[in-house]
Amino acid sequence: MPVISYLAYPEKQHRADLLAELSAHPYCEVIPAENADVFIVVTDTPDRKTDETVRNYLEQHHGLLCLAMIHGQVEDPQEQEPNDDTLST
Amino acid sequence: MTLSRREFLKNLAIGSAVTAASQLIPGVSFAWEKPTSQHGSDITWKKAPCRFCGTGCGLLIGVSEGRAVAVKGDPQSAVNKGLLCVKGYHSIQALYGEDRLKKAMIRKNGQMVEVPIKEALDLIAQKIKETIQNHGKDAVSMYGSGQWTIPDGYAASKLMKGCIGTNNLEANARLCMASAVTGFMTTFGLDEPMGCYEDMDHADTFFLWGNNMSEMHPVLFSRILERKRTHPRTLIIDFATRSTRTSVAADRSILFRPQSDLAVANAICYELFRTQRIDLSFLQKHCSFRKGKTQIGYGLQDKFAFQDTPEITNLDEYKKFLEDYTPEKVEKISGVSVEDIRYMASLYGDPTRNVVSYWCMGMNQHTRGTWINNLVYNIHLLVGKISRPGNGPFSLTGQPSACGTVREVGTLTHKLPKGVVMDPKARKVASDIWKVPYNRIPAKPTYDTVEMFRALDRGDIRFMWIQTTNPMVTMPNLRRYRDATKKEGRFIVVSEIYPTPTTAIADVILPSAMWIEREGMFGNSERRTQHWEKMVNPPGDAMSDTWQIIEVARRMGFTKEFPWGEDKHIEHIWNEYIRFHDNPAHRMADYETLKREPGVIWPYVNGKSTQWRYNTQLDPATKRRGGTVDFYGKPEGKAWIWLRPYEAAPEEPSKDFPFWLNTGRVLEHWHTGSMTRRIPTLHQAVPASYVELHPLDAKHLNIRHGDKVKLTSPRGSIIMNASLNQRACPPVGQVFVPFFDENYLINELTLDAYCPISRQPDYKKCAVRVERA
Ligand code: SF4
Repeated sequence: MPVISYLAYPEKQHRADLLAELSAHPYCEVIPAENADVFIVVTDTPDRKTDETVRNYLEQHHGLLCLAMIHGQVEDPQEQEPNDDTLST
Repeated sequence: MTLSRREFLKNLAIGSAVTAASQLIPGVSFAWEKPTSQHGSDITWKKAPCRFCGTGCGLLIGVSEGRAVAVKGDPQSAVNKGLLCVKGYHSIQALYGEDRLKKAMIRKNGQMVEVPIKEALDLIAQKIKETIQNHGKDAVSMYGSGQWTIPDGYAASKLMKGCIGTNNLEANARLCMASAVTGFMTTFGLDEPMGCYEDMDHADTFFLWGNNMSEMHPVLFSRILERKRTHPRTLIIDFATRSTRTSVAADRSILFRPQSDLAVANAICYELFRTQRIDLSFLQKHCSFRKGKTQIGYGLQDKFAFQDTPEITNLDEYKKFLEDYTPEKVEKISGVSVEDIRYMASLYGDPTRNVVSYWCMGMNQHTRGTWINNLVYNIHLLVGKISRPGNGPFSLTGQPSACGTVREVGTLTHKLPKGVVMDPKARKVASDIWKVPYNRIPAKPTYDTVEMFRALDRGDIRFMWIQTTNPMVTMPNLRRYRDATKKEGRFIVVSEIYPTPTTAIADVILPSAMWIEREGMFGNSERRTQHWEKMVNPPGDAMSDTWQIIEVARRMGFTKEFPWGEDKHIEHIWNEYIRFHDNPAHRMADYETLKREPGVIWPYVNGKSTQWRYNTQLDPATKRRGGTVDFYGKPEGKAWIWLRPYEAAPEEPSKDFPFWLNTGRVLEHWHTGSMTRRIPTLHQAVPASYVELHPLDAKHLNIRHGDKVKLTSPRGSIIMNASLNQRACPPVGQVFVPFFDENYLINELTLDAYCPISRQPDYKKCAVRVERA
């Protein structure tokens, strides 16, 4: 169950298209900066294989100047106790 | 309110990205609100430097129920400001590989047998004592690592030099940064860079000398790219022997023939004089001139001896020396055009530009490694671009504590924690602090790393204890040294976390506690010391390298020298160690400060890091006034400009072996891959080593991408897959092979030639034949 965040720097001319495309992507959530050409992209995938596919898709996206991985939850579901429990806050 | 674990993790990921973005882009805002109530999470976050490269990124490790479960970049860390590369991000998975070594093993009747760790420690102490009795104390040796923590290295130095009384102590950092040390020492009289990573926020011109930074120091390269994004005037010059991802991102990629960087550096200096770009006032006040021996050999013979003798010279002689390096002449040697040489000189000489030069293995793993380090310093000294924000030469380290442990603690044959063994004053300081007899610390260095393995082969060394390194993958001319370990009468102890080709030749294997399974400190490239606490328990009987050394020392009767209890021994070791550096030029932070801060840079004086050494405004150790800098490492306060010529490599392509072979790393794998190949994502990304060829050579040899290729050098051959037009491309006549994969031991082909001054081997140049297999 990888959950990973990235800083993504879009090409200026592709900013709007990219935002629309990533927002529609089933495994991506996008938060654009309000005052800079940078997005936060969070990927939330069911398994490592899907995570890899999504990462490849992002890395090879021609509309992106640069992609920096920031944070990752790397727990492997097989190695953990049931982990989709609910945390009280 | 309830928050599912997944939502919690998502918020954590977004929060980290927001923090990282705001460090990189001040004032940036996102339409995202941090959930106010996140308590109830079962994850505790603790700081640690990354386990892998010498960049020393700050990590926050999430620990839950005794297990490391998550990683994020530490936004408080001045190194990485919240960013991490793919290795750092996956680093905790290296703790949990299936075949982790958990029990000690002893070879009995040819088979490795699990034993209680006490039995293994008893045997090690007994073997050391027996070896000393039968062959003398110089038959016992220890080979450590730039991945040792500072306390590991300190305990090793005290045991070997202070207790046993032998200088047979070396570390694998000899293979990665010894030339940077001798370069700094010969030019400035003190080791380690004068600047820090913050130079990246002030420079507008970045020269990368044989340094594929985008793969080897990716987080620092991101910082440079960010500087370029916000300061469009910024230029990145990639000066290299092959085209890489760094070349693609650079403004100019300039390729040179292997070894000819020496000539190009001199040609840049020639041009600076010709175009009158020299800072004469800086030169007169802060520099003097030296020349040394030439035709100095390559260390290929056993017991190779060399001693340089600096001779005073002057500016006129230097200018005359440079006449051999006109751009026209150097173009012929290097393949670098006159225009490109002039372009580089014009950037270094432009008074409106702030220039930093970065390098790593390309310059250090070089049979004239000390010389090329000297020559790049010459360039910066000629234009006075040094020791001030955004200006300076900067050698990056490959390993997380090559600086902190090997260079600062001094875990090399000639070194002590302060000074060198040849210096009676340094021996006196060490014997006083260690409370050992002065005469016990020998005044003569014994063996550098290559010579240490040669001594093992000859039988001069009989016992070797290897910790945190994998020489049976990394030694050049590997077959000779692997065969040496198998000879009758040799006893090899290996402390490791996973089975490797080095544990395969061991007589005793000790399972080590890794990284956050114990407390420790690392020192990164920019003189930054970083502490971490023990966060999780090591598996089985695994024990920290420091504690293994202490256990063996006590069994040998050195209880008085290692009196500490297990709970606080790291704190005690740190407090003892920093007594060696209690002066304004090298003062280290106290233990409490290290525990609190994400890292501090030495000299740490009056509660402040010194970011730019030698700068009279910023470095409290400077004494001489009347100038911008005081190079106080040299008695007269002046840096030495060296006259160092171009000399050819010991082995060049020939009729039988027509290609240059270059070796190195890839982004996804750390060194020999013993950790990163056990991390599924990294392993899948680059599952096996390969040979990169230029497409024209491939066409000529009828080789396609993925075909099997046979490489042969005078020392051996290997068959591996061809890689064409992938992440990098060597020029025609060269091939490149990464060394991370123990299934393809490329060092069976490399040559054990080294720089006679630093004694660091050259892994970047030897000759091979290439055939379709
Ligand atoms: S750049 Fe180096 S220190 Fe930073 S995360 Fe990557 S491997 Fe670790």
